[in-house]
Amino acid sequence: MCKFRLQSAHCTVLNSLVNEFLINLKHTKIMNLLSVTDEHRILFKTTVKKKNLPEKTTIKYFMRIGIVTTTLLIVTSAQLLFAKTLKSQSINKVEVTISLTNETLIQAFKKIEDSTGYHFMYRKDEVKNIRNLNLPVTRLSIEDFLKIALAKTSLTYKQVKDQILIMHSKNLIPNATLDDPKIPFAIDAVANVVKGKVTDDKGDPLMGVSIRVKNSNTGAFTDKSGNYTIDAPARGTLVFSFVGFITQEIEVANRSEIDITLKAESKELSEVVVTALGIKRQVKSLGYSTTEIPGSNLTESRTANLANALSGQIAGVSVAGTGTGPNGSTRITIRGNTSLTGGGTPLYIIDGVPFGADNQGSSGKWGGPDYGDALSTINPDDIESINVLKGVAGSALYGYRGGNGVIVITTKSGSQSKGIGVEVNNNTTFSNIIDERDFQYSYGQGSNGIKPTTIESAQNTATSSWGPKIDGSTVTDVLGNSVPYVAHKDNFKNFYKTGVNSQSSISLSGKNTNGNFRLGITNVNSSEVVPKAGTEQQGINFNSNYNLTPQLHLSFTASYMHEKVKNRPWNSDAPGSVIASTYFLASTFNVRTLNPSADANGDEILPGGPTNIYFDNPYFITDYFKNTTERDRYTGNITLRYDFTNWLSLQGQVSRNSLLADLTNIVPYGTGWQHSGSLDVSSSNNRELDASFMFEINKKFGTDFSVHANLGGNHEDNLYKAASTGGGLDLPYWYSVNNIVNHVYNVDFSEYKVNSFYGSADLGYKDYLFVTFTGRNDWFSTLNPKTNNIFYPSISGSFVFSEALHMPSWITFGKLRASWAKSSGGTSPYNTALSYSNLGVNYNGIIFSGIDQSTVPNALLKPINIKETEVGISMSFFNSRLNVDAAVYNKRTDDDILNVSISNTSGYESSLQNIGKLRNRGLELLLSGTPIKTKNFSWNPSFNIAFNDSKVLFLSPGVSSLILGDGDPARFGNFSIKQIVGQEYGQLTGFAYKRDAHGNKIFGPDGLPIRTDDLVSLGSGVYKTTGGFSNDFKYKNFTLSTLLDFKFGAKVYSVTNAELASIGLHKNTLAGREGGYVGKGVTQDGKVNTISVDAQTYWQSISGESGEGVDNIEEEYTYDASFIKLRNVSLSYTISQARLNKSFVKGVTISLVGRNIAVLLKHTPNIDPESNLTSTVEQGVEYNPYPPIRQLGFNVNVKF
Amino acid sequence: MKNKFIYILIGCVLFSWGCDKNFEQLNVNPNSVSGEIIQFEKLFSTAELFSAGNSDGHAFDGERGNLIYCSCLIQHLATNGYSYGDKYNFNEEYITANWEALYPNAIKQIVDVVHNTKDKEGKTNLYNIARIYKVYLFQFLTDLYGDIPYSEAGQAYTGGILLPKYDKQQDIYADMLKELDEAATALDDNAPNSLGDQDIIYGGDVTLWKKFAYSEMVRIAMRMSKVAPDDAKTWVAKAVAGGAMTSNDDNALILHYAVNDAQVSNNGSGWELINEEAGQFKMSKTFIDFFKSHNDPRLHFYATVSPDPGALNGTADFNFGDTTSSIQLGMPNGYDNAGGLVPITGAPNFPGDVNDYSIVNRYTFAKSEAPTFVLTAAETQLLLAEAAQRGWISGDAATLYDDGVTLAFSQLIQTGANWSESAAEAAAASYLAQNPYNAGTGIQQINEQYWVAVFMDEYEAFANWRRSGYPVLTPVNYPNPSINKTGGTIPRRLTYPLEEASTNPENYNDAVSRLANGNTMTSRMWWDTP
Repeated sequence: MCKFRLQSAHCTVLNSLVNEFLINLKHTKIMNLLSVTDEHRILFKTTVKKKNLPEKTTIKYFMRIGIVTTTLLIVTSAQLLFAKTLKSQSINKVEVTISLTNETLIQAFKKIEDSTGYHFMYRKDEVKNIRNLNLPVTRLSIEDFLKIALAKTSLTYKQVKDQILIMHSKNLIPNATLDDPKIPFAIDAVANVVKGKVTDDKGDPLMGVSIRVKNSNTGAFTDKSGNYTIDAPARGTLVFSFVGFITQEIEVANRSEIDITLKAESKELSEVVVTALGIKRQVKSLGYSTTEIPGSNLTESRTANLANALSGQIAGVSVAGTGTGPNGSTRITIRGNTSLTGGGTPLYIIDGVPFGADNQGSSGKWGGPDYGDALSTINPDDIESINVLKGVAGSALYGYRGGNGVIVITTKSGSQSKGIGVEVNNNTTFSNIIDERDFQYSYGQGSNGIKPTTIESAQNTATSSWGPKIDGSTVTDVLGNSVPYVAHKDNFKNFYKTGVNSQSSISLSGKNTNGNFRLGITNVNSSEVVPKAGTEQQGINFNSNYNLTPQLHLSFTASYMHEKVKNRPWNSDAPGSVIASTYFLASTFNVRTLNPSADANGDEILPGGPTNIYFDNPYFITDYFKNTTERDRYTGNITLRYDFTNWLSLQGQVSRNSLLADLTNIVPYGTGWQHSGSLDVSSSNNRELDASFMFEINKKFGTDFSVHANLGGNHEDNLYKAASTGGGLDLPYWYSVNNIVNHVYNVDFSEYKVNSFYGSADLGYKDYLFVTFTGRNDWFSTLNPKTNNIFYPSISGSFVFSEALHMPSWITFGKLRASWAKSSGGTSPYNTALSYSNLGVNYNGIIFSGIDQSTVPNALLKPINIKETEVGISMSFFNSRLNVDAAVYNKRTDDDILNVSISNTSGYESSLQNIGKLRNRGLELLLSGTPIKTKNFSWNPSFNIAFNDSKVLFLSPGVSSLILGDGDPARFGNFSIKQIVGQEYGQLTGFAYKRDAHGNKIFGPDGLPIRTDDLVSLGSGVYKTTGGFSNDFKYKNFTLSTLLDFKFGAKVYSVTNAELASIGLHKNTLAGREGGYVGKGVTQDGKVNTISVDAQTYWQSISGESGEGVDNIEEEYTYDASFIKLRNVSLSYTISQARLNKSFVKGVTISLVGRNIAVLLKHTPNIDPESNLTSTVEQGVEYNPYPPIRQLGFNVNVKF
Repeated sequence: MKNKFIYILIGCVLFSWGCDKNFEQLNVNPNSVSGEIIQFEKLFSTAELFSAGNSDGHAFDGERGNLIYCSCLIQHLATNGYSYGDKYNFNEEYITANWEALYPNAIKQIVDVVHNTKDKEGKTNLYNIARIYKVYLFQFLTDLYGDIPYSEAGQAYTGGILLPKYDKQQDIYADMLKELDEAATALDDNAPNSLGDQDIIYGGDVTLWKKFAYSEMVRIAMRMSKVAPDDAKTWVAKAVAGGAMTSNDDNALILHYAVNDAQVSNNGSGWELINEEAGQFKMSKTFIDFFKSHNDPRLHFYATVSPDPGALNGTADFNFGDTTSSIQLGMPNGYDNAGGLVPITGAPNFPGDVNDYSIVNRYTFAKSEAPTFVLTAAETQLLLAEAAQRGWISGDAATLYDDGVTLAFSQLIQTGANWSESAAEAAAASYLAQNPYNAGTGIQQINEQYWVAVFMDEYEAFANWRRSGYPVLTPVNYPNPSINKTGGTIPRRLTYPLEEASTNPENYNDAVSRLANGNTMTSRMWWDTP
C-alpha cells in the first residue's frame, strides 16, 4: 500500500529529526524515565487504549515499564531513520479546512488529526498554554497552520511520515544528514517488499508497531489500521516490537505478506521496582522475593505507627503488636529473628536515607511508658510505595545492614503531576477501646467471703473480689461512704473516652520539562482514649528533581517532622498505670468514686489506702502525672547525577537523618508512692550522615545480551549523644531541674563509621535469563583495625521460562528464581578495646580510675554472619487473572554475638563472642488475582501466608539455654524467656502442672496442684504462621476494601490473667466459691483427688504474686496467642473525573474507614493476644496492656 | 565545563569518603579514656582500696568473708544470728564473696598495671610496687581458697585468657617469693615518685615498699613452716637481710574517712558493725577470756558493752557503750537466738540479756574510719620471733617476741586508741612482765599474740591459726547436721564458687580433684598439713 516514497528532500529533515530524537533520548534515558514515559504516552496514546489496559493503572503501568519502554523507544525511534516506505505527503502540501473559536492548540491538533489522518506528537506541558486560538473558517496547509500557531512560541515542528512532532526549537539539529558520522549506519539495499497487518490477540489492529529487518538498518511502522510495508531481504528476519507487547522475530522466508499477532506483555514482564541502593530493576530479572505495596494501603486505615499498618500485608513480614498504646513501639521481623539476644529488625530506607527504627525505650517488668520508635515520624500521605526486600539476596547490597531485610520507602514526587497540582487529604477517625474483659460479676469486693464494712477493710480489698455474692446490700467504700453492693461493669466505659484522630495533609506538586517538585504538609491532632493523652504532629516533606543540564540531574529531598506526645501511658506494673488502676478494681468498685482524685492537701486519694501506695488512683494519674516527649526529625538528601552517555552515569549523594528527642516525666507532688514527686528530663540527638557515589552502566550487547552494573561506595557516620538528669524533688509543685534534690548530669555518647565499596552486575540474556552478582565490602570503625573489613556477596538468578519455552496460552508468565547471599547485623562501638573510666569513688579528694567494664573487650569481635538461600517461583495465569508467588528460604545465622559467661578469675564476668547459631527456614505464598472483572465490577482478592520455622542451634560449649533480657520479665511467677538449643526461638519457660503418665494433674495433700520440679518450656512466643487476606471490590466508583490479618503458632504468658485470678475477678475463680474447689486430677498416690480447697486459697496459690504459700503455675495462664482479625475495612467513593471535567477539581475520593473492626478468633480471655509488653526480642509476655483500640472514621481526598 | 562538574562530584564524594583513616581512634569511647592516656597510678590506687574488703560500699566481701566467716571461725567474734562461720554452715554467696570481689576488681586492676608498666620508662617503681602488692593480693586469695588461678588470672583482655587454669599453691608460693625478691631488688630510690598520693598506703615511698616486700616475704615464708621448712628458712633469712618492718611507722594501712553512707572509701567491716550488721556480732568468749586470763589492758580498746547494740549509727539510740574491761563478756560461739535449737539463753553463765555481751569497740575498730591493716610490723616481728625460735634466723626469739607484742600494743594508736606511745609501751612492758616469753611454749605464745594483733584482719588470723594451730580453739559442734557441714571441725578453707564449675569446668575440676575432700570447707591446702 505504498503510496508515497520518501523523497530525498525529506531525508535531511528526517535525519535531523532522528538525530535530535536520539540525542534527546540520551539525556532522558532511564534517569528521567518519567519524561520519556510521558513522551511515549502521547506518542502512542491511541494504541494504549486499544490495548485494553485497566484504565486506573495506566499511569502506574507506564511508570513501571520504565526500562522496557526506554529500550523499546530507542528501537522504535531508530526505525524512523530507516523507514523508506513511508506513505506521507509533505505537510506543506496537505491542506485542511479549519476554524477555531477560543480553542486550544491541542483542540486544533485534534481537528487536524480528525480530518487528515496525520498525528501530532507533543509534550502536553509544552503546548497546553497555547490557548484562546481564533481562526475563521480557513483552508490552508498544515505547515502554514503550524507556522501561524507556533509563531510566538519557542516551538517548532517536524514531520515524520504521517506524524508531526512538536518540539522545542533548541532541540533541533538543522543540518544533520544521513552522512553525518554520528549516525553509525547506512541504508541497505532494498530487497523485496513485505507487507502485512499487525494485530493484538483480540484481533484489533496495532498502530505504531516497529518492524525492523534484523541485523540491518531497515525499519517501518504500522499505520492506523495496523498495516505495514517494509523492504526486506527474502531470507531476512523481521523483528516486531511494540511497547507493552512481547517482541517477536519472524523469518521472511520468501513471503511477501506476513500478518502477525503480538502477544501482550504481562505486567510481570514489564514491572520495575526500586531495589537496594535505589537501583531500579525489572521484576522479572530479580532472583529473590520482594513485595511492593502502594502508599494507599497505609493511608486510609492509618495507624500512628507505620509499622502497624504493614501488619498482614506482606508474606513473611511479621509485625508484633505491643500492648502499649497507639504511640508504643513496634517490632517488625522479616523471615524470623536473626539474632538470639537482640536486634533482628529491618533497615528502613526512605528516599535513599537510612532510617533506623530507633526504639526510644520500652516499658519492662516494673512499668513505665513505652516511648515508641521513630516510625511514628513518617507521614503515610507522603508515601508513594513501600518495597520490602525480604531476602538477604535483595538486601545484600546494604552489606552489614541488610541482614534483617530492608524496607524501602519511596515518597511521592511531582513527576506525575500535570502542571501545578494540589491534593488535600483529611482523615478523621474516632477511637474507642475494645473491652476485652470478661470478668465475674457474681461476687463482689471483699476477702474470704466478707464484704467491706469499714474504710480500712474497703481499702484493703479495693482490688480483691473475694467477697460474698453481690446482693445489693449496703457496704462501705474506700471513702467511707455507704454504697450499694452492686456490680460495676462500666468502669472502662466510665473512665476511658472517645479519642479523636484528625490528620490533614496538603500537597503541592509541579512539573515542567526540566524538573518537578512536590511539597507535602501534614498536621496531626489526636487525642487518646485515656483522658488528657494525645499527639500533635506537624511535618513537611519536600521532594524535587531538576535537570541542570541535559546531562546533569539534581534531586533534593528534605523532610521535617515535629511530634509531641502527651502522657504516654505507663504499662505493666501498677504505679503510674491507669490501665492497672482500672483493670483490677474489685467487681463492685465504682471507678468514679476515685474522682476527685486528690484531697485538700493535694495528696492522692489512693484506692487501696496507705497500705497499698503502689496502686494509683487512675484519675490522679490523668489529672496530675505529666509525661511529654517531643521529637524533631530532619532528613535531607541531595543527589547529583551525571550521564556520560546513555549507558553510563555517575551519581553522588549526601544524606543526613537526625532525630532529636526530648523527654520530660513528672511524678507529681502528693503521689502515694513518691510523695515529694520526681522529675526526669533527657535530651538526645541521633544522626546519621551518608555520602556515596555510584557508577551505573546499563548496556545491551547485540539483541541478546544486556548488562546492568553498578559500582559505588558509601561513607556512613553515625552519632548518638544524650544528656539526662532526674530524681526526687525538694519543694512541692516546683517541677524544675533546679528543684531536683540531687541532680547529676549524665551523658551518653557513641559514634561509629562504616566505609563501603560495592558493586552489582545484572547480566541478562534474551530477556528471559538473568544472573545478578553483588558484592559489598564494609570497613567498620567498631572492629579491630586489622580485621575490620568484611565482604558480603550474593548471587541470584532468574529464569523467565514463559519467555524461553513454549507455554500453553493460559500461562501468562512464569519465572523461577534462586539466590544465595550473605549479610550481617553490625556491632556496637567500643567493644574491641579496653578503656578506663572514672569509677566515681572519692577517697579523701583522690579520684579513682580504672577498668570499669565487666565484659571483656573482644578484639576479634566481628558482626554476626547471616546466610540465606532462597528459591522461588512466580506465575501468572489467564492473562494475569491469577497470580501465584511462592518462596522457600533457609536462613542461617552463625557467629551470633552472645555475652558468654567466663570465669571471673579472668578479671571479667563475661565476654562478647561470635558463637551463637540459629536457623530460620520458611515458606511464603502469595495468591492474588482478579477472579471477576466486568465493565462495572471487579473483585481483587489477595492472600498471603508465611511459615517460619526457627531453631536455636548452638549457644556456647556446654550451655543449653540462655535467658533473655534481665531474665525476669513478668511481674508474677517464675517466668522467663529463653533460647534453648534445639528448640524454637524464644521459649517461654515457667512451671507447668505436674502430671501423671495419663496427663492427669497431680494434687498434694493440701488439695493444691503440684507443679513440675523444674521450670519447663511452655512454647515459643514468636508466631510461626503469619499472613493476611485482602479483598478489593470495585463497583463503578465504589471500592470496598477489607483486610483480614492472622497469626498462628505462638504462646503468650498473661500476667494480667494470673493477677485477675489472684484477685478473684477471673471467671475461672467462680469455681469453688461455694463449698470449696476440688481440683480435677489425682493425688500423689494415684487416687482421684477429692480434697476441697477454699477457692481463694486455691487460685491465689497458683496465680498470686510470688511469695509464701504461692506456687505459681505459669502453664495455667499461658495461652495460644493465635488470632484472626478483621483489621481494616474501607468503603470509598470516587467522584468520576468526567463529572468534574468542567471544574477545577480533578478528583474527589471519600472513604469510610475502620481499623480493628473485629476479632474473629482468639484464645486469650480478658486481653488481646497482641499485647506484648515490649518490642524487644522478649516476645510472649503481657501485663496490663493498653486496651485495643477500634478506629472508625472517614477519609476525604481532593485533587485540584 | 562538563569535566568540572564531574571532578567536583567525584571530589565531594571521595573527600568525605576517603579521609577517615582514624577508625581506631574513633572506636575509643570519649566518655572513658584509653590506655595511652590513663595514669596507671590511678589503677593502683583502685587495687589498693578495693583490697580493703568494701568493693561496693556495703562491704560485700568484708561482711561476708571477714565478719560472717573468718572472724567467727577464728573465734574473735561470735553470733547467734549467722550460722556460717559460727557453726560451720555453708553459704555459697558468703563463702565466695572475697573471690567474687577481688578477681574482677583489685586483681583485674593490678594485673593491668603490671602488664602496662613493665619496661615503661619512668614507671620502674610503679611496676615493682604493683608486683609487690599483687603478691599480697594473691597470697590473700590462695590462703583462703588453696589452688587458684594465678599465672593466668586477670588476663582476659591482656592475654586473651577467658578460662584461667588453677595453679598449685606450691607453685604460686614459689612464684610469689620470686616476684617479691625481684621487685624489692628492682625498686629504685633515685627514680621519681610517680605515685605520690595515689598510693594510699605509702605515698609511693620506695623504702617503705621495700620493707613491705620483705615483711610479705616473711609472711609467705613462715606460712610454709610446716610444709617446706627449708624453703621457709631460706626466704625468711632473705627477708631479714633485705629489711622487713620494724616500726609501726612501717605498717601498711589503708586509711578510711568517716562517711556515714555506703561508700567504698569506708572501712567495710567497721561500717558494717555499726550500720547494716549493728549488734549482730558479739565478741567471742574465747577471745575475751584470753584477754582476761592474761590480764591484757588492750581489752579496753577491743570491746565494749552497749545497751542497744542494734541501734544504727546516726540514730539517737546509737551509743559507744561501756569499754570498762571488767564488764566485758564474750559470747560463746555456736549458739542460736532464743527459740533456736541451741538457744543462747541456755548458754553457761548467760547474763540474762544478749546485749550484755561485748561487741567490737566502736572507738577503735567498729567505725567507718577505722584503718585497714594490710601488713604490720607487729606481725612481722612475731613471725620473726618464731623463725628465731626455730633457729632459722639469728636473733633472740624473746626479744623479737617482746618487740612484736609491744608493736601490737602501740599499733592500737593507729586505730584511734586513746593512749600515748609511751603509755602503750609501758602497758606492753607490764603485760610482758606478767606474761613472759617462754621458749618452751614460745611458738604458742607467739601465735596467740599474733591472733590478738591481727584482730579485724580475720583472714590472716584464720590462715595463721591453720598453719600454727594456735590459739588452741574448741570447735563448735552444732547438733543439726544440715547446718554443721564440717562435722564439728573448724573449716580449713573457703570454697570455690560453684559458678566456676559451669564457666570454667575443666580447670575447676582439675583443681577440685587435688583436694582431699573435694571443694568443701574441710579440704586442706598445700601448706596446711595436719
